[in-house]
Amino acid sequence: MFKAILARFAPQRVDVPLWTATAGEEFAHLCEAERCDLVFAYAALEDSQSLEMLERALDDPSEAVALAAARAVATRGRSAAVERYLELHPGERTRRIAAMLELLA
Amino acid sequence: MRPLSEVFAPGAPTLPERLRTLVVSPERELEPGMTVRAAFTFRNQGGAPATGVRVRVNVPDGLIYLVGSGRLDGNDLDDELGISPLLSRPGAQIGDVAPGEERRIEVAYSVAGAIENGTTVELQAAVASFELAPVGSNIVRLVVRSRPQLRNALTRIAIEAPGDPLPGSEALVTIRLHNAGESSARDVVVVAPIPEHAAYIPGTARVNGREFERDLGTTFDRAYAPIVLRSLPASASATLSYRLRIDSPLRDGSQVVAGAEVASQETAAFALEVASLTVVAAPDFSDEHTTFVAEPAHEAHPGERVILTLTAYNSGTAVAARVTASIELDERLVPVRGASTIDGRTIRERRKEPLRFQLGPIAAGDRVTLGTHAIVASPLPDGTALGAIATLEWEPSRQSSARRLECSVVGRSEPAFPPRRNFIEARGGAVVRPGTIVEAAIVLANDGGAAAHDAVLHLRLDAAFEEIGVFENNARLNLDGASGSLHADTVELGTLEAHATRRLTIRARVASPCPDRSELCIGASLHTRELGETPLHDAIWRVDSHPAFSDETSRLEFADEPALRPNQLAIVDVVVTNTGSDVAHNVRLRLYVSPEARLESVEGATREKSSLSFGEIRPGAHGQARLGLRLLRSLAKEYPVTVDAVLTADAMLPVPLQRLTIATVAEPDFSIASFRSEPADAVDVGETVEWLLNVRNGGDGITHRAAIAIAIPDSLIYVPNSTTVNDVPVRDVGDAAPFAAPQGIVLNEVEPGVEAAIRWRTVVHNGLPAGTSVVQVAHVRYDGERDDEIVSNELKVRSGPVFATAIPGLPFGLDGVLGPALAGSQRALAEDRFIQLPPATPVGDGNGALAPAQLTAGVVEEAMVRARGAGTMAAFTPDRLNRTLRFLREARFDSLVTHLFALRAFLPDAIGDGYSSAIATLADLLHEELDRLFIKLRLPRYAIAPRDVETPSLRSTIEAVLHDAASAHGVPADSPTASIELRGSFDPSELQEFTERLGSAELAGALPWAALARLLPDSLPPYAQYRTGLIDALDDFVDSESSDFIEALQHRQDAALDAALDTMCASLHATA
Repeated sequence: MFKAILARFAPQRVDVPLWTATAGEEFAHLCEAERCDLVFAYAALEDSQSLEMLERALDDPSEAVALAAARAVATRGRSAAVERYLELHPGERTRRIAAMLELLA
Repeated sequence: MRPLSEVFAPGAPTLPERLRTLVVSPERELEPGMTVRAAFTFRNQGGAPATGVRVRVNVPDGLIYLVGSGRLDGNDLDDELGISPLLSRPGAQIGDVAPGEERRIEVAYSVAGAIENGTTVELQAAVASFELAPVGSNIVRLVVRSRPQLRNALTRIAIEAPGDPLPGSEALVTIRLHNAGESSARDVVVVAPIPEHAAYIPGTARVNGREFERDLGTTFDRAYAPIVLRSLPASASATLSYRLRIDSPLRDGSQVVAGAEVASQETAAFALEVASLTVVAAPDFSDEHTTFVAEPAHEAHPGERVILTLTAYNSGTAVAARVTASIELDERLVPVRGASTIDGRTIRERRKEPLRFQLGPIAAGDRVTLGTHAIVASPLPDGTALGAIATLEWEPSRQSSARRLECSVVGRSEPAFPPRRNFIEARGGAVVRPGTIVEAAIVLANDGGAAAHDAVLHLRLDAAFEEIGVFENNARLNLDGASGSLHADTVELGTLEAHATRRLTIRARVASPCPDRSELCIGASLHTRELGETPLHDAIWRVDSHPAFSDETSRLEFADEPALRPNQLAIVDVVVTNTGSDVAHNVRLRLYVSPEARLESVEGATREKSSLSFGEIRPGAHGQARLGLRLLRSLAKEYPVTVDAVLTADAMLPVPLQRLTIATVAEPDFSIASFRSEPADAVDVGETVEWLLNVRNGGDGITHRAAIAIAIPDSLIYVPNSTTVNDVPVRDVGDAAPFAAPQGIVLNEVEPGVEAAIRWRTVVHNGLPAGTSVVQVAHVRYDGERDDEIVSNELKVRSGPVFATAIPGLPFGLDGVLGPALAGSQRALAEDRFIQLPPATPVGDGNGALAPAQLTAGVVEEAMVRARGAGTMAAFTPDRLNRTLRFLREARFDSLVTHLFALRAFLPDAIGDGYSSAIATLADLLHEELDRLFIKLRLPRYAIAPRDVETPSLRSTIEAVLHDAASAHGVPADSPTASIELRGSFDPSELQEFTERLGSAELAGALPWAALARLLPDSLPPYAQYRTGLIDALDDFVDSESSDFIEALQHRQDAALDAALDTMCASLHATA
């Protein structure tokens, strides 16, 4: 299932985020929208590997992707992990993500 | 001294000659058979008597004692045992001889008959006594004179043959030599020349049976005068024989003469009397060398050349003269003229008796070969014996001067059906169309020499053939079917005579349909008892088959009413019929619907935008589809709608179908209405009855004027100013209710679907008897001539006796009856809110709902619900409301998508007075889906995808919610926790219609959102304004493609709608 989901997002893109690169070279160049969809796909899973990927996606350079990841992690019951991440990464970006996360809760 | 018995013994010496007194006659020579007399005289010259005198005479060879010739002293001396005692060994005892006594003995001999010439015979006598030794006499020597005699009767020559003295046969020559003389013939010579006409057979010369030729050192026939015998004793015979081979041929009667001369040393040559043999000679053709054979020897087929060879071999011993041969042929053997040969040389053809041949003379041992040819005629029954008879005749004529010879061959013939002349071929063109009749000719030509029996024609017919018939000379033949075969395929033809031709015709119809370019084949094979299976090849056609459609059989037609009404589905049946003969592939019907109507649904075909795909349609089959056409409301004018269709398919020219013109009809209709009372069934006199007349323009056209008139019956008393129209109070006309006025309540410009609810109250007349039936009748007159009558339910009046009494609570008695306290109930509208219905304003949603904000929510909600049917409620806590408003501020994307988030935000928590689990599920799903879209829209230049707008699970949940809403009634109960309740009302029937349409609506379209928008709160004007605007905005895309809707979500900005949302949010913010 995990690989199958990965396979849906195989087209090559630019801007290599680290968290997609760890999933494989073919996922290293996804665009932001595709990374969002990838996050949403992970969010539907319940295994630890997908959760790990979602937590890595918090570092995505795209704020929207990071927001999607934060929302997915929180939805999975790992709000503490999100809060810890936000505490470890203070800044305007983190503030906006936290604000949006509150609205979407 | 030798005793007397020992003298004359063989080999013993003779006695000295002492006494010369033996006298023999003849004295010197003897001849065979001559008598020889011997006399011996002796004297006792002594003095004393000689006692015991014995006398003896010898018997030499060649002399034979003559019996009885012995004499003593002149007296016969008796023989003893046939011999004289004088000749015996002891001699004859003659007693005493006195001295001086002379004694004389005599004996006679005969010379033997056969004694060799020159033989010396010595005679001697001896005398002895007791006192004297034997004294011999003189010896008389006699010479025998004798000769052989070969020439006698027994010496002869003979020639004989063991059988008939035929030429070539053997003959035995026998020369018998007999010596009839007294002595041997020495060196017997025989001159025996080989007779003429005969030849010596080497090694056959025999003398007394002994091979003789070896001693000669050469062959007998080459030795002239050979000595055949060194000696031939007298009276002896010898035989010289040899064999001859009679010359062959040899003329009949020829003599083989055998002669010989015989000689010996003693005998001059003399010739024997010749012996001869008469040769018997005749020609002969009777042996096995004379043959009459045919080639081939055993079997011949019609048309085959048979070589008849007569070999006349003269195995006889004479020349056969004038030999002729006549040949008789079976009538089925046809002689070949000019093909006859004799000894390999062609002979001159004779016109007469062409099969009689002069062979000329044939010498013995010669042969003549006559060859003649014949052809086996056809037809010929198989196994026929073809005989030929040759008669050989020759001369000289004897008993057997002719021979008849026969030979025969077995005629082997069989039918033959050569492919060149036996075949099946298609007649007409090689390309056929389904439904046409093909014809194939079968030619059966028996070129064989024999008839074919039990002929059966097997046909191999393609399954695509039907109505198959086999004809011969226009007569239909029985066509039998084999087990398991699709068609009857066997024709019994019986016997096909030799050299006969039969022509059959096969007619069959090509089935329709039949695939294009398929090959149809009629194969045939002939089965006969003699030949078995004979293939006749195939007749092949190629099918030219195409699908075909015509505008006569393919059409568009109405399924029900031939008219199209606004917002109603007009069912149009599409029937496409493949009248061709091949399968139509990829059948598509492209529809051109005039823009006033829209293709709403398709059943029975796959819709691809404006085209219908029927896939494959087999020949003769139909493709049917049912189209749902909806006339757009905004275009609901009486314009005809046209539907053009072009039918296309692979390998087919497009076929435009006849245009379907749909008349559009738009007319108002108020016939369906409800007129009921509350209470509905029974009422007590004096009680108040609330009447509700719901009229609705159920038609599809607008009515410009609809007058509603109701006559108040006498049993009821109208409660003044109790009339409301859509909860809008309407003033009475004078003391009469507005609907009881002459013109009634007039509604103007009533759009289709618009409802009017007229309520009023009446009091049941106190004087009515119990059981009185109260019925009101309303008339709706519109379009000048339509008058729909609406009858209320029947209300029974209850009444009973009552007596005036003291009434509690009154300080006085009241001669009356307690009745309903009308003043105790809260009126829905205050008197100052009475307004006159604007005559030109359509009655629609919100008409009369321009309620000022100061109205209490509960009052408005009840009124609205009564007007629309069911209510909704969205409960908010202050926190949730604040967060919702913040969310909406963040969700402003300057396009229509903003309002999806608003719809998500204000979606009610409850619908109607029941519980709907679907609404909670829908809230969660919208929360999930739209949150994702919210996040994505934060991406720069993000393009909304259909899956961002609606997913199948979201669709099913929306359907469930709409289903609940369509069946909802009442209003939700107050939330115990919420401080703010946003309430709305909706028409369940309207949502029912959305529910029905939602099943066929594509995903990501505007329809579900338009339906959900009708659940938004409208309890306050800002809410209602926004809801109305949102509904209008979404309704514009209900009939559009999803792509158009998504495009609008992404880019279309509606400033008025945005402002309405702002107003609503501001109102809520103030509330919060």
